[in-house]
Amino acid sequence: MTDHLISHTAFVWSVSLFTAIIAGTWLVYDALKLFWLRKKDKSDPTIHDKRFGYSIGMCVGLIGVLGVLKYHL
Amino acid sequence: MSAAAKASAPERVVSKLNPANAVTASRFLCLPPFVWAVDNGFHQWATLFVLICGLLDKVDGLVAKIFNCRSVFGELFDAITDGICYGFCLIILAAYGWVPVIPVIAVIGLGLLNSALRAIYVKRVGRATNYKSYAMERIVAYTAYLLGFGTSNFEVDFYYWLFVPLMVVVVIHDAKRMLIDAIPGATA
Repeated sequence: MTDHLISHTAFVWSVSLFTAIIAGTWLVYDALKLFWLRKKDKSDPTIHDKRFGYSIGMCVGLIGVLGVLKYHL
Repeated sequence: MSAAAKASAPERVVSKLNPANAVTASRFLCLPPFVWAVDNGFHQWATLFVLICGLLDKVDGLVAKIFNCRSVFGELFDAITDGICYGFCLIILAAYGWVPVIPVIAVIGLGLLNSALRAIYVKRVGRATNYKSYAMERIVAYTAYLLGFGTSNFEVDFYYWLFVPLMVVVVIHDAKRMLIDAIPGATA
């Protein structure tokens, strides 16, 4: 029994692509949702929670993309 | 059906032994092979089992929708399974030195604190409801990815250490919302 389901290079690129696609999509998706909320009532607690959540989502997406770039650059 | 008829209709009873909960429970089957892979130093196998566990987490919601067997118990069971599976895997990875220990302790500690805050919130509002946190949903998803980064040895320190301040901010925000702010829908 060995660890090699696929070659190390293929494994690293699979993880990189998977992370970059998910994190990149996440970043754009939450940025768009945050943008669509810009004219909503900011004093509404639910809207506030959504805005905070989407901002955190953008941070998570950005960290994901930066991690991939850090690994390859 | 009108809104009044819907309100007066008896609530649908869903058995706890349903396909969605079976899929949720099957996630525990990923844990023994995961431990075997980590114990043998098999990064790719460990990543595969984390991936399967994560996919089953997505599939159970889909199965609940298809078989129309959504329930309060199912949601709670899913959340508990998330906590046990992710917490267990993180502890194993930290114990074998695949990931830094301090962020793992922080993640698990903050997770437990968040659960305690939610229990207090449920008592505070006085009904079987819970606080929906859009930010915590994203943090939980990030936790699942942390496992993948740990098993694949992919920028582990970067992802783990950046996770901690993000989770601290979210827990502080949610603590304020659950313990201090006014309850939505409550009369003053």
